[in-house]
Amino acid sequence: MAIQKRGILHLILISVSAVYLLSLILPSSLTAETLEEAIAKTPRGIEEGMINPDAQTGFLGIPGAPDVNLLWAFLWAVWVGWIFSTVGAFGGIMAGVGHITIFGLGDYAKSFKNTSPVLNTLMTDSIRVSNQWMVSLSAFISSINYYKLGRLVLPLGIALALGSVTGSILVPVITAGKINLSSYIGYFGLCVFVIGGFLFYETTGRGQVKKKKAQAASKAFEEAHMRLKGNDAVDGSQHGVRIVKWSLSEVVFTFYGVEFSFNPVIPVTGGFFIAALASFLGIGGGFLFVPFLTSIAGLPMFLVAGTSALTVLVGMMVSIFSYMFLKGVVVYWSLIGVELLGIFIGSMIGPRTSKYIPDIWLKRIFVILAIYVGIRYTTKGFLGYSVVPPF
Amino acid sequence: MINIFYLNNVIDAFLISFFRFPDNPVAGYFFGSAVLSLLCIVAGELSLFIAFQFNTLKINQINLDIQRFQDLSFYALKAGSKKAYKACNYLANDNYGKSFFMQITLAAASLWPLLLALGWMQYRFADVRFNMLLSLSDTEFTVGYVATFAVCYVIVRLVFFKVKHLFFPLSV
Repeated sequence: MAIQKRGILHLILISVSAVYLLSLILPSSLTAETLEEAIAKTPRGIEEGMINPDAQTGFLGIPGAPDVNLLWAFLWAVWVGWIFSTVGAFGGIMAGVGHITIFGLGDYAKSFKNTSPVLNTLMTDSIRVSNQWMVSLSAFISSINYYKLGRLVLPLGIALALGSVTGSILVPVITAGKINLSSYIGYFGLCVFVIGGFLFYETTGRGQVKKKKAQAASKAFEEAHMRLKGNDAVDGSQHGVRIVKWSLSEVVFTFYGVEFSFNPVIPVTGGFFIAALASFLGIGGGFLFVPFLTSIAGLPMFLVAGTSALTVLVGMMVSIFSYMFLKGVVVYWSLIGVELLGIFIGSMIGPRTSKYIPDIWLKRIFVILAIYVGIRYTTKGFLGYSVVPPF
Repeated sequence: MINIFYLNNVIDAFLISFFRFPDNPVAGYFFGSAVLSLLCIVAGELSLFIAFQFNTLKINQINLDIQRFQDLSFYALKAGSKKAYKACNYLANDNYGKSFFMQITLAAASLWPLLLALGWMQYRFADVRFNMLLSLSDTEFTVGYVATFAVCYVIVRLVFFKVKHLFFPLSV
């Protein structure tokens, strides 16, 4: 318990210090303009790439901008919620697809590429922060639950938080107000390929065999050594983490009397790239910490889940603070609220439909969808046109 | 921006009445924010309750699977079987993924009122700025409705969960 409290204190100190330092640096280097300034500088007129002041205000209060139909947004979010409750990570991707394509924001923002680049980048920032709020805020809350369940490996938490906070700070500082929509869509498309690749691997024979082998090994162990019944569950609190060695090159700790070790550089690096990617694309990266640390560092899931949860909290706070408070990105809150409501409804449908569609077929369907979305966004972003319909 | 939910005059009049209740505008702003926070928290808790009722089977199944493989991995560690530990840890991790996204949807159930409230605040108080007492640099640092409402929400939420059992003795 004392270690937990000290861990929280350390991580809070890290995040507060990071935000404080950021606030000292940023005001002198702020170049991003406000939405009002960007609108004022955009040419007036009725042609594409211009703003007609007499038109009805739409997204973010911009005259003539698409007026996102909240009913459609809700229905799209029901679909996203269904995906979250059946296939998982792909829900974040489809949330982004909604903001970029379905609601018509992408094409509208793109029309300002030459006439008002600042408005183009401000809308891009708004889209990715909207994604981030929608996915990561929920992950933020769920992480509190994991933190309550799990326990903290202090050196791991600090290393992970250092990498994560750095990534969460650097990406908004470097890219806010600078990434145009085309680049964002291109990188988003590449990310869809990566997630689609993971989904595909899980449907292959190799991916299936790995899981079957693990199930067989755990069953064999259970039958040979265990007779777990009801109240025989393990009380993990009786076998705490004991730090044996703590240095810049190696951390050694024991858990259940078994020794584990990791190089702190690994969580710092992993934390940095995961947080940077999550912050850049606004897709939320919290779910990647645990597989990363259990696979790469071989650490127990129980400990990693609690530790990474805290990192998600810190990273999320810093990232949103950077975008919202220091860079002044405008967010259409009602849209996100309606989307969260849709996700909540969709997630109640998921468990009822999944019994009719086998898990592996669901994944195969989404692999195909990922290939389509990935090709479309990557080519549209980097080549300027989509090689798959609609062109 | 057409806002089919918040531009509804009835809701707008109802919500703004709390902000106009005290004569002092600053006091009214924070009083209204606190009441709005409470409404969001209660609505969120009700949604969460419904989500749990609808998905009880799935939630329990995922939690049981996680617990089972976690326990097995601990026993494997105690028994010194690295192979069994790795297998159980892998399966616990697999179930963690399912649990993570399920938790996201549950969090959405409790958070949607907060975001809708922010949408209404954006419509009503987008131009309100508060000067920070302690400026971190030479540049003037102000916060708007997002920061002030977030602080109110967190405080009211903490208080709500402290006193919830007084009003809902059977709640967990």
